Amino acid sequence: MMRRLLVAGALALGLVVSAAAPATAADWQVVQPGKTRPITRLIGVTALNATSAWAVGEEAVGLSAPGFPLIMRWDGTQWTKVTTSLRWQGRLTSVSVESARQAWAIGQDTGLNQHVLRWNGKAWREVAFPGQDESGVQLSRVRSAGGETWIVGATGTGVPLALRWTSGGFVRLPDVIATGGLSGVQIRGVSDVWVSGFTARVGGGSIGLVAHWDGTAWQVLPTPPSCIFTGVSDVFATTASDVWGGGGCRGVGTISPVNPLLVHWDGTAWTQPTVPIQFGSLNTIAPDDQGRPRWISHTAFNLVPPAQAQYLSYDGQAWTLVPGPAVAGQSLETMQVAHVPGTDATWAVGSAAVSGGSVPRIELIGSLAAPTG
Amino acid sequence: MPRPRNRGAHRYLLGLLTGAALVVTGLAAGATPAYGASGWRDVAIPAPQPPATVDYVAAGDARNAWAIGRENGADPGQGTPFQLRWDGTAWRREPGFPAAGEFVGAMSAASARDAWAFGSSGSQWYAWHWENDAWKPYLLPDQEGADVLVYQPLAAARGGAWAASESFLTSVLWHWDGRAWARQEVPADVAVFGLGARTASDAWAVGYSRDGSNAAAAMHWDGHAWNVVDTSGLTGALIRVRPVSATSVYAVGSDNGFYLAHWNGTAWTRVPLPITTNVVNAIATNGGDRVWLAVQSDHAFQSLYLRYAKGRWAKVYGPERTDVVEVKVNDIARVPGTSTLWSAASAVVFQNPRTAIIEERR
Repeated sequence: MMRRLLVAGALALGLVVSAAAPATAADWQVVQPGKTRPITRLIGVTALNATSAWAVGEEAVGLSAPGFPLIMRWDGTQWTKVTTSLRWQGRLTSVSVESARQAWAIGQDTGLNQHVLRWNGKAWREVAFPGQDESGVQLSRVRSAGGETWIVGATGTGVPLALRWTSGGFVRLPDVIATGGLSGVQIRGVSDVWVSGFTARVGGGSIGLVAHWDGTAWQVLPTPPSCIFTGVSDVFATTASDVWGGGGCRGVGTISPVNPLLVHWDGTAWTQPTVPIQFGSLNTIAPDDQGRPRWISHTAFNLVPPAQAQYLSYDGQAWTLVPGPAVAGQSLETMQVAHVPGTDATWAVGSAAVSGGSVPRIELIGSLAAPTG
Repeated sequence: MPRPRNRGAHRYLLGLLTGAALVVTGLAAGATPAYGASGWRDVAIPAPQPPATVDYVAAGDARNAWAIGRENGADPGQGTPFQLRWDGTAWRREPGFPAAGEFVGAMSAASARDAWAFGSSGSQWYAWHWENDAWKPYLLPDQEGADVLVYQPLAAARGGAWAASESFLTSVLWHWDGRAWARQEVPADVAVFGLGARTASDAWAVGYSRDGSNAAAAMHWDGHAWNVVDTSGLTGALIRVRPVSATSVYAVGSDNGFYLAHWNGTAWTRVPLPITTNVVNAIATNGGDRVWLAVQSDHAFQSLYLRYAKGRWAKVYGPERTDVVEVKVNDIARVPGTSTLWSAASAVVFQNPRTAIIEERR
């Protein structure tokens, strides 16, 4: 018994040490999340620099009770839960940090009302947005960069929704297309924003959607390679002739598997590189410190849960599969990635399935200490 | 809708503070756990074999309360029954009852001398009476037609008690007159789901009319006979009833959701619940016009009670529980003559089997 305690203690210590000072690592490493109530799932992540990052999700999800919105913060040493004054139950699904005094998060409560939160350097506060009171509106992702903040989603009537933060609050942009939804957004400048999602097909199903905002109008790219139900979850462009989209494909039927979809636009045509993952969908694309696509993260197909996270790694030529660390008794549900500016590091947060529910998972690759040259 | 949600979140934040206080007091050996802001506290019980639950509780007075649970199985129809007894200081295991083959489906007590359990042994229906520190079995007479589908109500008063079983076609009602059990005729074709008794000559039976009208039904016992009471305006079925005076009776109704119903001596009125809930498992009063309902909690880590008084509802959460992902309250009993409440419940600690718990509010 004593021996077991000692071993357990050593393991616990090891985790603490790795959490306190993540080693420079060529491999993904598990970083201990701060204490939360079970059942906790992390969903979204964003990093300002090596000593500041945010993760959002849900905690205290009961077997028969909804959870509470969860915000965690990385201070350079550890992840800890942030106390908020939010007065609703539900979850936060996306977060994006712009500066020490500006960050954004979005989420849904149990009444399916959408919430937008703004970090002002001291506290998270609710912010209104146009269409907030419409039934069925859904916000999918928030991104903030270069003084621009965008939120994308869909209206209750199934129209893609793009909101842009201005000095007067959020303003709804012209509709990209008539029917569909947006789930990905990349801000490269005031007049250079990419979005991705899906276009609803007449008679059912959906095709992929990638579009560009030039500050005045939308340009919708030709339809990327698609299947019966297609969604391009995230988009990442380095130029107008180098655009990556990651998402998923599903056939007809409730247990039809979800397969990853990776597409590339070269300015002229779409190509569909082979993805070294069989099941699930791709959800976020994170760059390296030079602004080149680096990592893509994955949401598992729940009928074929993988033991480890499945990351796609880009070397400038091809995407290869890099598995995350395995943890005994856990299988990965989903991970999202975010680059840590000023470093070669990338955070990934998500959740893993365990007997009895889910646990939060945080992983890190690269070094938070040494800036890249 | 926003109001209760806000109130809940507020209580959640308040609860975080009280939860911290509980941890501190819990460290002191033998310390009585503090009552949270809501007044409910956890009361330790001897740990049964998991998975376990406490299904029923009844209190005779401050020194006599009983609870029936199941261990080695907590899902419906599973596990082995066990008894707990409160002696004024602690809950202790009380072996010997229920014996093998005995199943208790309800408990009710009006005093330490008027405590009953109702259930079956083998294929026979029994009521057990608390006498000389033991449960004495009374074989219920004329069992023909008796069957239990969902509800198995029991109500004890001083010198009287009622028990009912309900099948697809008939309800069977038994009455204890202080000396013996006998069958009573139900005056209308009513499925009896709930029983409540204030005195030996003031009892209520509620349920629904089998006449196809989809109407709730209520009947009153005046000491001589059961009389049908008009329930116009109450739809679905009444499933529980608690009389508090001759002119005030509360019942739980169920149609597309749940509602509270109140009898003012003349008519029943419907009182909407402040939240939408899938589960109302129990009702209790403080002996007056303060009503408690045990409902499905919207917090993973604590039970949720709805309190109704003077036309106002409050969401009242039970004590916060570390690493708990579900708390289910199955039964509430008032200690006669007081406003103290006991609740029989179960909780699931994350990644562990269900455990039996008891909560108290003084």
